[in-house]
This record gives sequence, C-alpha cells and structure tokens, in this order.
Amino acid sequence: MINKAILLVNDCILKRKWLYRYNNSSNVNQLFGVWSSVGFCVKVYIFGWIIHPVIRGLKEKMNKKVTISIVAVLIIVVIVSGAFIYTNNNAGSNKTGSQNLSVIDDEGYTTNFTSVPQRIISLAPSNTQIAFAVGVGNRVVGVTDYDHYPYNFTAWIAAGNLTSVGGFSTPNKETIASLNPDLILATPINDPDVITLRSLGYKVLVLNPNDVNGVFTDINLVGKATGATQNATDLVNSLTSQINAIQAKISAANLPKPTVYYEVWTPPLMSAGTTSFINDVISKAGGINIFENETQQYPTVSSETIVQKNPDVILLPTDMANPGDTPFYGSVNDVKARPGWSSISAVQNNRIIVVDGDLFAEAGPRIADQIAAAAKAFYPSLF
Amino acid sequence: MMTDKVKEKYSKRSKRWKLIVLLLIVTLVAVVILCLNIGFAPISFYDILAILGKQIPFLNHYIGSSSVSSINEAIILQIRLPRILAGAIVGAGLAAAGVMYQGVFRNPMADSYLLGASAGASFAYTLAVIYAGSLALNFFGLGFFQIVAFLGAVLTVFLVYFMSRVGNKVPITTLLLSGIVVNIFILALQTVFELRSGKALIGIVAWIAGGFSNITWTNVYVVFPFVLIGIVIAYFFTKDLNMLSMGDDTAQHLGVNTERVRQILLLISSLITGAVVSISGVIGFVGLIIPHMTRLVIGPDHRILLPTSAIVGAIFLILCDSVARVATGASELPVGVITALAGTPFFIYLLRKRKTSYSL
Amino acid sequence: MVLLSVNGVECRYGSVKILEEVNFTVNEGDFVGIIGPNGSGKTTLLKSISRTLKPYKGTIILDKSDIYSLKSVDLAKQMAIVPQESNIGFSFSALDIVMMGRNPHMKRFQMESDTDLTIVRKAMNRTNTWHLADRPINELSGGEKQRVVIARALAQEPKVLLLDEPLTHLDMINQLEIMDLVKELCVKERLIVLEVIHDLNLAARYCSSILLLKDAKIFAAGPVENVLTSDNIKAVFNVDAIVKKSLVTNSLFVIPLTLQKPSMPRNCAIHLIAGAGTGTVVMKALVDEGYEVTAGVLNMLDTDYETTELLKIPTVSEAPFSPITEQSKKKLSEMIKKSAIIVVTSVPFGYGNLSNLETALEAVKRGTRTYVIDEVPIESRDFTAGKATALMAELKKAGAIFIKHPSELPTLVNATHAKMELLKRQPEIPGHIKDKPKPITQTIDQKETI
Repeated sequence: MINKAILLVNDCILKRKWLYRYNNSSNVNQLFGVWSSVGFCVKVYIFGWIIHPVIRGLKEKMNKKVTISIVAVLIIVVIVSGAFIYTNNNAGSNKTGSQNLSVIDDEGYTTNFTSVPQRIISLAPSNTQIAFAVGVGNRVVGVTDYDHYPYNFTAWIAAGNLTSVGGFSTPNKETIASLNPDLILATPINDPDVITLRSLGYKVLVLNPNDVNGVFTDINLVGKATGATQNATDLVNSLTSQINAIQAKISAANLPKPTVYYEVWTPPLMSAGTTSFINDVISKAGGINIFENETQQYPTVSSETIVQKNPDVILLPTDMANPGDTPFYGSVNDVKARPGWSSISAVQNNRIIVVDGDLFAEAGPRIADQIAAAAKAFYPSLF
Repeated sequence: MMTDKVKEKYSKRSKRWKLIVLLLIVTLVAVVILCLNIGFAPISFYDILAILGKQIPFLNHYIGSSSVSSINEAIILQIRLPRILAGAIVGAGLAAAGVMYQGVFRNPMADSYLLGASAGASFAYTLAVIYAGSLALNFFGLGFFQIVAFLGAVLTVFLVYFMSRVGNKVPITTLLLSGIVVNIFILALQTVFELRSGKALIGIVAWIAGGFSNITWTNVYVVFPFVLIGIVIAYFFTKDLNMLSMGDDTAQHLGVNTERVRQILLLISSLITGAVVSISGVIGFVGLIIPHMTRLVIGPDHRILLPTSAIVGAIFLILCDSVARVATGASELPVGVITALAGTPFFIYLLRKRKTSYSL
Repeated sequence: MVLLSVNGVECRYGSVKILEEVNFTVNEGDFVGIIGPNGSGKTTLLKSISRTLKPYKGTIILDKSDIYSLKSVDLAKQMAIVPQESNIGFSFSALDIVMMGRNPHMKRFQMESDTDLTIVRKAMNRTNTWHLADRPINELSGGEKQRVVIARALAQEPKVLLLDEPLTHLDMINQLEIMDLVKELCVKERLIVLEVIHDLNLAARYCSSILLLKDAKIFAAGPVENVLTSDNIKAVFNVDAIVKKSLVTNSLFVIPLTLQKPSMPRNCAIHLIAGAGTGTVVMKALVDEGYEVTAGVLNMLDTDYETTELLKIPTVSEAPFSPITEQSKKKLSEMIKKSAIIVVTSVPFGYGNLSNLETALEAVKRGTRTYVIDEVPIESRDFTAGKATALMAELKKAGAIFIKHPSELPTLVNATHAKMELLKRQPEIPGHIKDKPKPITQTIDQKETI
C-alpha cells in the first residue's frame, strides 16, 4: 500500500502534470496557476503523511550514531552548496569579442552589441510601437499585457504566436529568460527589473521619451541597435514633415493661441507639466498648456487653479482599454457640472473635446497623430 | 511513577530539541528542491537534478551535460534558485526577528516592523527612486537601492530607540509609543512623496508591497550573513529571553542584565529586518504570526522557539512565494497577500486544536 | 556569620523622600517582618534591598560587600525575591519556572544538569509543588502559583530571601503553610528573611523581629514583643487595639477595637457601673461621644477593667476575688458625686458587687440623672436572692430611667447633656417649676416634659 502511494507521488512529482502550464494563453494560465498551487499543497500533505511514521521510528532509535551521521550529511551538503554557489558567480556574463556597436540609452547606460538582435522583448507599449514602426516587429517575441497597438497583440498572445511577459511593474523574469532575448526595450518604470536583467547578462535599453525630440532620438536609437537605421531615419523624416506641415498651417492662419487644460487623471485631478510629452504635444499643436510651468511631470492640481486659469480648450482622454466617446471618469456633462467650472471659457463655449486615451497614452511614433488630434481640437476651422 | 517520568522527559529534552531542528532543516532542503519545480518555464525534475548535479564538483562527470539547455540552466540557477534561497533567508530573518521582538516587548502583537524598520526602509526607497533614479542605475548598480533601504530601516530604529531613552534606561512603553508615532509620521511623509512621484509610483508601491521578483545572487550573498550571524548571536540570549518574558524585575532578580540584553536583541533584530526588507520589500504576517504558530506547537521556551521559528518561517515564505509566482499568469501576486491568505486559516486551525499542556 | 546591614538609606522619588534614615542589621536565621500602614515605605525598603530602586543615599552591605557593587548575577546567587504577584503570560511549565531560578548558577550556554534538576526537585518538594511540575504556570491557582515562585526563589539557593506581601491572594491554609515553610527554611538553612506583611497576627506569630515603619521612617525595630505594643499600634496605625499573648500559640495577637471618631470634649462626667464585659461597648461609645467617663467598682480580673485600662478611664478597682470593701465603696461615692450622669449596665449582680447598686441608689435619690440598661431582665441576673431586684425597683421608683437597648443610650445621654447645658446658660424662668424626677410610671415611650 505504501509502495503504491510512494509510486503515485513520485509519478506526480516527476511528471509534474500540475506544476506548470503547457500553453501561454492567459485565461488557461490563471486556472492552471490556482490548481497548481492546490495540487502542490496536496502533494506536500501526502508526503508528510507518508514520512510521519518514519520520523516517529527515527525518534525512538535516535542515538548518537544517527545524530552524527545526519549532522555529517548536512555539513557536507552545506559545504557543497557553498562551493556550488560560489562557482556560479559569473553566470550570464557578457559575451566579449569584437564590439561593433555601442548604444547609449536615455539613462546614459552604454550597451554593446556584437550582433544584430533577432529576438526583441518590449516592456512597454511605447517601445513596442517604436519597434514595429522601424520595421523590426517580426523580431519581437515578447510584449506586455497592455500592448494593443499597432496590432491586436492580445489575440496573438492567445493564439500562442507571441508571449506576454506580464504587466507594467512586474515582468516575469522566467518568461523573459525562456524567450532568450538578445534585446530588451524598457522604460524607467522597470528600473529595478532592468538592474536584475542586466546582471543576468541581458542587453537592456531604457527608453524615456518626454517630448518630440526624445521620440525621434529613441526611434534612431532602436534603429541603430536593431540595424534598421535607414527605416528609423525615414520614419523620423516622415514624422517631422507631418508635424512641420501642421505647424505651418497654424502659423499661416495667425489665430490666437488657445490655452489648454489636459486632464490626465481624476481623482485626484492630475494634469501634465513641463517635463511631460503632453506638454510638448500641446505646444507643438499651437496651444498653451495652462500648467506648462509646473516642474512636476504629472502634478496634482486643484479645481480652483483650473478655474482661475480659465482655459479655452479642455481635453479629456477616454479609457485606454475601452475607447469610446466618453472620458473614462464620467460624461462631458459631469465635467461641465463641476462646481465653479461653469465660469470657465471652455465650458461656456462648449470647447470640451474628448480625445482617444489610447492614442495619448504614451509618447511614441504616434506623436505626430497626437499633435494632429490636438491641432484639430485647438483650430477646428483649420483641420 | 509520575515523578520519574517527568524527570526523564526533562533530561532528554535537549536531545529532542536537536532532533526537531535537524528534521526541520532536512524539510527545508526538501522544500527548496521541490519548489525549484515551480515556475512559468516547464523544466522537468530530472533536468533540475541534472542542473544541480552539474554544479557539484565530483558528480560533474556522471551527468550528461548536453541534455540540458542553457536557457533552462540559466532559469534554474540564475532566477529560481536565488529567489528561493532569498525567500528562505527572508522568512527565517523575519520570523527570528519577530520572536525577538515579541520576547523583548512581552507583547504578542509585536513584530519587527514595530519600531519603524518598514516605514524607514520604504521612505528611504521612495526618496531614492524619486531623486536618484537613473543616477543610481549607472553608478552604483545593484547595491544602491538596497543600501538606501537598509540604512533607512536601521536609522529609523536607532532614532526611535534614542528618542525613548531616559537616563540609562529605555522603558518599554515609551519605546512602543515612540515606534508608533514615528511610524505614523514617516508614513505621512511617504504619502506626500508618493503623490509627487508620477510614473515611478507603480514601481514604488510594488516594491513596498514586497516580492522576490528581482532577486539576484548578490542579494543572497549580502543578506545571508546578516540573518545567519544574527540568529546565531541571538541564540546566545535565548535563556535571557525566557526570563525577560517574566517581567523586567523578575529577570533582573534572576541575574539578567535586562537593559543590555534588550539593546543587543533589538540591535540584532533590527539589522536583520533592515537587511531583509532591503531585498524583499515589506512582507507582513511572517514576523507576527510564525512565532505564534511555532509557539503553539513547541512551547514558549526560546531556546527551541528561535531556531524552529526561523526554519518554519523560511519554509513558509518559500512556499508562499512559489504560489505567488504562478498564481496569475505571467504577472505575479504580491507575496504579502499569499502569506496572509495562507497563514491565517492554518493559524486559526492551530489555535483551535491547542493542547492545554505542553510536553517538556 | 552572614549579615545584611542597611546604613543610612534614603530613597527619593523626584525630590520627595519616600524612605529616610533607615538603619538596621539582620543576622542569619532572623525572620524579619516589615509592617506599617500603606505608603509608609515598606515596599520601597524591599525594593532598595533588592536593587530595584537605587537609594539616594546610604549603603546596603551583604556579607561584607556593597550590593550595588556586585554584578546582577552574583547578587542573584545570594538573594532571591518573591514578588507580590506573578503575572506570567507565557505558558511555561512549573518546572521550567523553577528551573529559571538556577539561572544565576548556570553559565550562558549550559543546559540544565542533573544537579540542577535535583535542586529544583528538592525545592518543589518542599513547597509541595512537585506534582504540578508538568502543568503550565498560567493554569495554576493563585496559591499554587505563589508556591511555585517560592520554589524558584529556593532554587536560587539564596542566603537572603525577600518576600513582598506574598500572602495577599492566598486563602488561610495557604497563608499558614507558606509562613510555616518560610520560617522553617529561615531556621534550618540559616537564611535571612525579610517579609513585608500586612497581617499583624501572622507577623507576630512567625517573625522573630519586626520593623515597624511610619511615614517613610523606621518607627520601631526589634524583637516582636518590644515592637508590637498597643501604644505603637495606636501611634502608627491610629487604631486602638489590645495586644495579648495567646497561650495556645505562645505568640502575641492583636485585637483592633472600633475606630475612634474624633469628638469634641463635652466636659461632662458620666459614671459607669458595669462588669463582666457588659460595659466595654458602652464605655467606648461614651468616650467616643466626648464624655469624661469614670467607672467602678470593678474587679481587677474583670474584662471591663481591661477596657478601662486601655481607654484610660479612671476606675475604682477591687482586688481579685474579693467583694467590694468599704474603702472602695467610699471611693465610688466620691467619684459618683462628681458625675452628672450615671449609667448602670445589665451586669449580673452577686454579693460581691451588690454594693454598687446601693451606691447608685443613693445617687439617684440625691438627684443624679441615672440610666439603667435593662437589656437582660434583672431577675435572670440576680444572684443575691432577690436583693438586687428589690434595689432595682427602688431605683425605678426614685426616678432612674430604664432603657431596653444599649444603642439608645448615647442619644438619650446627649439629649440630657444638651438640656443641662441649656439650663446652665439660661436663667431660671420665674414661676417655672423646677425639673423634678417624676415617680414611677415614666417609661421610654412617653415624652419627657420639662
């Protein structure tokens, strides 16, 4: 009987049918995750139940010899593990060799490439967009759960053609490792993970575009790193001309510049300051961000300040996951009804415009589209 | 005859204790190996054994080295193993520190965050992320944030301790109150800075919530001596802890230098807590409940309670982290959630099953 | 010869002196009881000896070394303390608790040896707690817990044993057992024992010497008989008490009387004719009311005579076993003449004290206001073949007022006194008939008329 039980347990442990998932679909993942933990607990209890009489038997016979031998075994184990840990110090070292390419990322870190990266993982939607925009989308093997532009990545992941590495703040290192990437594109949010990944030997570029120039720099950076410099340059030129065209039209019309309030989030009310890309978008689209002098990137603001600054235009983004017509925190009427807001020029002149939250979510190759959308909101007569 | 049975039980006690500790260590090793099986990447048990075996100098030659892919090897050795070991070290450290705090304060609700270690570490980390973010990445690499968090934890505890000093003595209630006040104060500052942190907020909150997703071998090397040496030194004072739990006066009358012992124990446990929080964030429940759980089974004698709590804490945290790793797809649950969910029912079960008398 | 000497110790709390000028020496084998009212510094004294509270001034020498110069451990090897209450939250077994007493003798890393276990077992056997060895301490009763703590103190093998009100939560049998045990240890092992204790009788019975504290100073110190006197008790506790020696236990015991109410002296003399214990309560009550009480004639062995000695009441006394002599009778008459009121209690009358009644009758006939407490009918306490009864009847005829219950006496007496005062101050109203005792039929139910 006991033999059978031991065999059964062995079987479970070795085959480990319940301990890992076979496919990458997230729904199935969750289920397996829960079951695997339960299964594991059950196995542990069975193990304990089997071992228990052994322990009791040992207890009775416990004498000096047995103690000494167990202690000796443990000491050997400790020494051996110590040695093994020590010799493992330099796993994942950088491949040395001819360094033909040196790239400095937005945080000033220099990464050396000895070959053109063929397996790219992106840890943020903006990076995914840049990768696809410079034409290396076919080399992307891993994205986050929040990526859905320019393709429906969620469907790709579900179909098993792409792997998700997790959410914004907790990319799964094992997934990353099992994808064996040779380039990882990260943002400053992932800083702690970047440290770890680099220490594991992966090449990580941290991109942090805060304005149009930053986007261009990053496009060129990615292009350089992936050997797609021509595509990158072309893209930058194309975007530049798009933006220039918009700006030319605006300056030609010589209309007064509207003051603009962009609501990043509520509650609490949060807008965009000098160092955010939204500020740059607004200014390049011919508007004046009422919080353009705020040093914080995304400052919390008060209703009073907004009313006092009396913006001409209010931009409200929609929910990023469910684009529609309403801002993600209520209806336009709700916004108009806020206490004191009836005196704002934008409210009185009905210049409250709902913009696509997903479009405005991050700074990336779509920045030209962002500027276009903003310009349309500011100068409806021109666009 | 009853008296003889009692006498026999008592004199064999130290042997029984050694056996218990030994068995727990064996269980710990087994749990470590078992949990190497858990994770996103499917790696078979044989492969795992092979990978481990390759590292042992003598067994090297008996294992076919080509059968294991280097990716899997990297995953096991660079990602899973350090993470599991870190879980063990952190669990042991938190549980041991919890035992010490509960003994020193004679309060069952004490854990090692009482004097502000967690608040200090979180706050220091927040400040470091906001003001030294990318700088740190480049110049100090791995160690910077850990060092900052560690210093934050330890300095806060020192601050609380010296705030409560009256002449040569530090009355316990004053210490407790100072701890509470400082905790609240720092938390308030923390909130202010969190609101100013912008995009970094997610990262900060995630770190504070606790987790092992970014453990590297360096983390393990650095923290292991703190915890091990701390527990060993604390073991010297377990008899004193026994007597301290009777009351300061009684302990003094039995020859214990209460002030000195308290200082030493608080110092050690704060260092352990600081070290541990610096790599894993603030993981709750372990330091508070594991000592109680162990005490329910094994009794209040600190000479056995300290080592067993440490090992039980290690095992517990490894298991919880393993669940946290795989529970929801590619992203992870915070380990603190799992510790609370898993530990509470088990603790309630123990409470209800409690025996009225302990074996000697 | 081990000595504990306390020299010039003064303890302060801030700037308030809670103990001062304490000097005494204790030898081995001495069982010292520390007694005194609340707040007199008893526990402070113990705390200063046990090093819980450092004295502001003074030294405490144990066996030629200053205890404050010793290390904690060294002191713990010589001195053990049994605190008043032990609130032990953790469920150590009783054996573990007692084993902790061995701590001062063990090195840091030593586990308990067989010797330690033997000593612990001996200590627990002596305190009758070995059968509790396995039980968790927080499940034991107060008495058992206290005995375990004493066992722990014994396990320290101390030379000095300090106990702080160890009997407070114990029932009578436990109290006696513990006192017996401590006394036995003190004598057999030649320990120095200092015990703070509230129960004066137990202190008197077991201690060899007493330290009586008052107002943070030592009021009296020395052997029990010297310190435990009713004078001292009155001075320190402000309680009237009788201190007697019990022939059964061969030790002193203390009988506290009722509390003295402070009262205004009334300048009115009352004479009390009593005996056989009937007069004690009345005496006390009248003294409390502020009257100048005199008594007699009382036989020297009479209980009431003891009371007069205690209350310092001038009394005419008679030698034991003799009837009242003419001399005494004369003294009594003179005394009565000075009294404004006479009270006669329900004392049994025999030929020995019958003359008291005769003297009373004379006084009544003279006009002295007289009250007779008639609680027990005269017939049942007449041992003079009817003579006493007859005298009583005459007393009644002469105008003495008979009361059924002694408790009514003070009120009546006060009323009488008030009237007298009034009459003294007011001049006579012309034409008013002077107060004359009315004949016989007056009873307590009818109102008195002026």
